Amino acid sequence: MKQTLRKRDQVILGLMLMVFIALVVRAFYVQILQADFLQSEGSKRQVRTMDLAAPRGDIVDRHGRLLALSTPVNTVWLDPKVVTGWLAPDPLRKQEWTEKEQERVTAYQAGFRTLLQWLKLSEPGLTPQILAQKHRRFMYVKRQILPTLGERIRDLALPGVYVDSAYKRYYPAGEVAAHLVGFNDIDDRGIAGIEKIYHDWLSGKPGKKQVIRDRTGRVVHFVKDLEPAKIGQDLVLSIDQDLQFFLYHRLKRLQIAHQAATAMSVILDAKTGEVLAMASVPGFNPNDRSQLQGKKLRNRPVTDRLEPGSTVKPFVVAKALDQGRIQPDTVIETGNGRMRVQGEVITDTHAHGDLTPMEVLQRSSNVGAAKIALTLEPQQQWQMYHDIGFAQDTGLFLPGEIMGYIKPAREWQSIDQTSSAFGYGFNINLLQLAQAYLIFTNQGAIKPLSVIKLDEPPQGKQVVSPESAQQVLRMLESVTEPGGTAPQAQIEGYRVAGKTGTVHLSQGGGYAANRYAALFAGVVPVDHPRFIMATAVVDPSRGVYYGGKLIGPVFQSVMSEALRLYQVPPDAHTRPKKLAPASEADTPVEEIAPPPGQLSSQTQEATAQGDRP
Amino acid sequence: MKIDLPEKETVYRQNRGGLEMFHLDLWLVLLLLALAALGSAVVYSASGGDEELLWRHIIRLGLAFGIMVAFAQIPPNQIRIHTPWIFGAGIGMLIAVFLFGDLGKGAQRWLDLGFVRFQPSEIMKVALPLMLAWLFAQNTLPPASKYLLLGLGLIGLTSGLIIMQPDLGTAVLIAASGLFVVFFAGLSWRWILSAMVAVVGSLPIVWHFYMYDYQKQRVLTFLNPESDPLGSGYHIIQSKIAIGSGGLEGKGFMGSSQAHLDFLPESTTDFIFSVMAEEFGLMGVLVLLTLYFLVIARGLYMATQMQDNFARLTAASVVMTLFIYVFVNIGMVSGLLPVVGLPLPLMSYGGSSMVTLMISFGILMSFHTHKRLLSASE
Repeated sequence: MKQTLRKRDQVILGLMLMVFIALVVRAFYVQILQADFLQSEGSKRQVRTMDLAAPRGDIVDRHGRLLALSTPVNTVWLDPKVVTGWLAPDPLRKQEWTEKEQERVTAYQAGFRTLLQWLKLSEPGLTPQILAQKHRRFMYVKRQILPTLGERIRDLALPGVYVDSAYKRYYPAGEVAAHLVGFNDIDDRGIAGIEKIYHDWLSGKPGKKQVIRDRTGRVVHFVKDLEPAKIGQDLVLSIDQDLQFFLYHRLKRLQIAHQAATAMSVILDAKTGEVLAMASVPGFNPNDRSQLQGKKLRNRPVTDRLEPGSTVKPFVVAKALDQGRIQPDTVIETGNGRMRVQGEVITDTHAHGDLTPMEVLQRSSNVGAAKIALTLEPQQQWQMYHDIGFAQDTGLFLPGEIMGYIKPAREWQSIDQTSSAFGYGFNINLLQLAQAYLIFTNQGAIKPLSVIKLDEPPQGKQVVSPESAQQVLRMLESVTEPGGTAPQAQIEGYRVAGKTGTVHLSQGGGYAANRYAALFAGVVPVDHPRFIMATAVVDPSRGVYYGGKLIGPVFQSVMSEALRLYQVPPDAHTRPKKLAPASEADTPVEEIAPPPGQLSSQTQEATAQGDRP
Repeated sequence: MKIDLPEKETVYRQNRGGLEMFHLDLWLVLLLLALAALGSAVVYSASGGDEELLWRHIIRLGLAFGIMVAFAQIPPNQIRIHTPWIFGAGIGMLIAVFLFGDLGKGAQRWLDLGFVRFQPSEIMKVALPLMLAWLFAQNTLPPASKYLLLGLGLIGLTSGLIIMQPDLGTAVLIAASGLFVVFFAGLSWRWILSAMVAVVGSLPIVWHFYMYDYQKQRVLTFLNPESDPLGSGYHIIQSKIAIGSGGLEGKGFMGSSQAHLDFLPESTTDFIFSVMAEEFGLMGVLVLLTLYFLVIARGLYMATQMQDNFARLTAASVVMTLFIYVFVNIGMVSGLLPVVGLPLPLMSYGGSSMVTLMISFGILMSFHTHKRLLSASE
């Protein structure tokens, strides 16, 4: 019996030794042979590569002043699955909690309430949302919070609650340049203006960093940057922030003073075609878009259709001069101010009698302009409008740009010639009108526009002869002189050329009898043109609606500022002729032609596509 | 911890008389203290430097050692006389668990007596081997068939009650401790072989009719942990990663990234070995296994020195049970065995299983140190 027991002891001892050897062999296998593999497996679980947010490039004006910049913000998000485990723990698990675990859960819930307080979120609002999504792993809590607050939330160290870095756009110029510069959505994607069309250029490339995370995903250590975040490229606009600022505020005052629906304006560099300023009212604050309305968003110089009215008369005169159909001293008989074309009557409000082409422009005679137009072939006139870019893409790709509408050349008849000679029967945007005036400042050549600062002026395309262009520019100077329609636009020490326009607003298939849009396009100084400024005020409701009277003073003050800013030498060496007229009676009012009835249907067709406010 | 063998003899002789007054075995005490010290250090590290937890662990260790010393003072005769009563009470409490037991992690294991809350299955870890030793020692060895069948019946009853809690891991271990007694009692090899065949043959039946889904899942996951890396396989994969990351020399004390980053589950309890392996490497593992081996070797040596069958059978079973614990836990965390949720004796943080273990060591020491006394009186 003793023998059996000994034998059993030996068996057991042998078995035991074998088992211990097996454990040692296993340990050797796992810790030595498999060590590298298992270590890399471990790293895979702890070491994570995370995106580093990349700031977007700045948008600056032509002098490098900031129009849009990226500021760091924090995003708070949570893992509903993890957070649910803390906020509404499994009752089964709850039973086995030690006192310490119970304390931790209580502390967590208190910490979570603090978090909600800091973020100004209500617990009854958010908690059910979290519980409802408890099988998901991602939920935004709040975005675009201050980094200092983000830091405090990180310090709370609540498992399942994370703070990420991001960037938010800030626009120092606020509403002044808002329409042109545009803005980004909450994911920092450009959705309006320059921000949208230059999104790819501006956006940075996110970098990568390596971090060690614990099982709940919280970053415990920072290891290293794998790839630095690439900051987006800056963009230099052609805009001059000072000018933009001044223009916007003058426009806003004008809109308020005259209770106009909208007002818009563009200032171009007369030599290069760069857009120096572009403004619309009403505006909006791009830094706080909570109150945003669609109509305030419109960058009106490109998005709104206008019938340009008398502001296009100079082009008809230029083309007729260019084609040799008239001479500067040709006498145009306007008679008693009535004229019949294809059954429609064209009228001037006053009888002007015989006029030179200059006087036609100065007094803005519709009959005179119509007669000059009729010296041209219909197609020639159409070609002129086409060459100066009417109803065509400006090539700027600004969001919401409309091209406008003009009848195809082959459909043009005499009546189209005459009505379009004073700016009815087709529509364009204000930017196109401003661009067209480039032919008077560039020896008869049109130039492409640019919202980006140019290193050298682009090549122009000849539209009319330099002489004709120069002649018309001189004629336009008379508009701001006594006897012209816009003496208010005069600037002391400078020679100003310009053309007013006043049109009836289309309404219900025809034209409204007493609702107008006033326009003014001007060039300064005439000697060496530096600026073109085109402005439109839509539906002013305080009884003043003539282009000269309404916009002249705005032109005068904005351009004075521009000339001063750019230190443009004066070109009028004599003390200017008598400035602003003493009384209203002295100012010849321009002709507002109620357009021929026949045209109204066409225009309606064209304008129906736009949404004139 | 290094054991210098030549010194053993001298130290043993010098102190033998001293500790024997307290009925303790010097070598066993030293080895257990060494394990407890190492365990405390790793528990501290695994908890991420939680001093409160460390103190609680040390207090429990002190209590457990105190209980061991207390049990060592009880004369074997007293233990023997009370064995059937203890066993009966244990069975009673297992039944009571069904009626009044507390739920914990989906299983009914705890009994709340008002002043103390414990798992009756812990008592059976000691009571069952004692009972079987008592049963077989009443008669000649090897036991007659009827006693053998009665013994097996007791094993079946005990483990059956525990399986129903359900706690498969503990049931298997308690059954094993009982079977060790049967084995040491001299069960013939023919029986052993046929029993093994029967067990293997019944496995599919157990699988289909008696195992819960989560139990099946553990076995399946053990066979292929990568099949479910985020679910049940997660524990094993993370544990292997921790052990493997230790390499030869380990990452140093407090250097377990797997535990500190919270990737390793139950890092202070069932998976304490993984933390130790990550921090102290293969060298540390060898030291730990050596310590356990020496404890078991010493225990078995003491078992062979016992002068009556009751003491010998109980001692051998107790030591083998410790051995099984060590093997199953280390085998589990290193991916050799399925996850059964068993602590590593003397290393893991946790109370009741440590108390049970120390009781059995106390009994072992009592048998060992009281035997001269017994032989003298006989």
